[in-house]
Amino acid sequence: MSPESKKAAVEGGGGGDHIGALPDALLHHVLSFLQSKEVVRTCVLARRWRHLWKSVPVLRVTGADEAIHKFMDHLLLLRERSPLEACVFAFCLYSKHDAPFANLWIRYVILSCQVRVLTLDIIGLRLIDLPVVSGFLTTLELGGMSVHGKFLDFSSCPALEELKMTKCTISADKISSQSLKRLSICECKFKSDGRTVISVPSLLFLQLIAFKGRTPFLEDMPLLVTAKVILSGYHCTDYCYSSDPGYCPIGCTHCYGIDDGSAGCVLLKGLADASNLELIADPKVWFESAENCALICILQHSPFLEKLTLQLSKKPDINMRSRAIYNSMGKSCASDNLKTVEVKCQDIDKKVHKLIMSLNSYGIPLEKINIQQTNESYECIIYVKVKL
Amino acid sequence: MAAAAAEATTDGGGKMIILISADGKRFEVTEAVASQSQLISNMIEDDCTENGVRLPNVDGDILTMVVDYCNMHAGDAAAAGDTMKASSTEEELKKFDAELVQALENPVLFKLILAANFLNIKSLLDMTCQRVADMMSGKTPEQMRETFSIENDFTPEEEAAIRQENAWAFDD
Repeated sequence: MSPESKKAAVEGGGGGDHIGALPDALLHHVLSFLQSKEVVRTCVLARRWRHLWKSVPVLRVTGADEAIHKFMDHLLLLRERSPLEACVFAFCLYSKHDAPFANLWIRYVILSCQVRVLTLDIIGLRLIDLPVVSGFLTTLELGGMSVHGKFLDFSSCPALEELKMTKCTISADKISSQSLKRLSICECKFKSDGRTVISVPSLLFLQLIAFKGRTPFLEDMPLLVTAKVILSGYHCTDYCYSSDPGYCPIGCTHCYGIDDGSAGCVLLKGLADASNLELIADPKVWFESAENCALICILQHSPFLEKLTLQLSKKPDINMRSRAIYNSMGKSCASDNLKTVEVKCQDIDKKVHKLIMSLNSYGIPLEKINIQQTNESYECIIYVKVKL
Repeated sequence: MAAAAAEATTDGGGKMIILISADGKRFEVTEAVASQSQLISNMIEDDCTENGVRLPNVDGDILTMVVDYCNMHAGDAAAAGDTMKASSTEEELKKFDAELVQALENPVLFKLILAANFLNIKSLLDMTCQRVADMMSGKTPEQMRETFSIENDFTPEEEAAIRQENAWAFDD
């Protein structure tokens, strides 16, 4: 189409074919919001559309039917091998025999289509035990899958910046990436015999939420800015009495719940460089174990901390032996730079008073503590702000 | 003068820029508002907005919509400029976007896509392209042709052959 006719079509108003007048790049952009099946079907609209689907830079195959295998093979083989901006595979496999092929499709889009943003939600799929190799992959999202072996070794993905795993089963000794900036592990199960070591030295943002199984060991993250950790109920096996916590042998019998540094705190050690830390757990974990209190541990070992949020998960245990945790060492352990402490809670009850007394005993003056009531579903949120 | 203009940007995008549409309509906007357009942002950086920015590809009525959109969204783009007036809340923005996009029909929708593309305003381009995609989604090819006045220039035989060729995407 000549520029004149294109312009005429655009400005003509009324019943002209305005959509066909868009340049290919813009039609590709429009089509990239659609399911791949719908995209392919546009081939019959008119000549203008005949081959457009083949170079759309986004693939979306979700909620697919039993003919998934046939569809995926045709889609991947018949499209042009142009680079993919993004790819979303979210479906279930009806046949066990399709699993090796699903792994093949995934490797194909990574290796041959140079996909940048890859979202995989293929329920129950066990990802192949091979490291991902791509100089293009920046974002990887995994949902509901089983990940084992070397798949989480991203040493061959120098561009990878974001990894998000939700409801996955992780049986890997190590999650490692030199480039990763954001890591989110949400409702996953660590099933490895040993402790999974998370080695992500460039990480800025960490979310570790409601995982099951053995607490992973966080190696040093000197650039960490924000971390949010939620421990779910009973299984927060965070500390280890062995001489080298974190690198526990298989079936280590020394691992217990969160504790202070004396027993080799697995999680908190790795989080020490964060400037904004949000920790959510059962009150017992953080406040109730007198001098072995995690709060002291955090205040003592986090020199860069600017903001600390401790959120107590709701617990209807009225007769809980909640007592203030006085600083048995008799010296201030909070940083001199501490400027404000905000206590946010639904009800200002005994527990809040005790927490404030505890904070006070750590060297935080009462006049610097503000109390606010909120309607949060959790009982109490404490913000500790340290101005550097 | 150029140095002074550059200085002025540090106080929250207070400097004004004139945008001139294809049909000569003039729009005065702050730098913070205008620089949501990557095109204009680059021009500001290169200091060539002194005499107004001529946009020969964009009609006045379309530019009105673009400027409205940018005014509304100036808050999130210019988070650094703390002297900006309180930016719109997220809900207000969502409502504004939803109403804007719902009201769009052929051919204004496509003019707006072209303008967003030319001015390089990613969020507006995404929003308008998403709107077109929504209008296509769930429709048969026949219904799509009707919605967008697409003339079917295949012979029935040709169309049948293409369907046959891509039957793997047509069987449900």
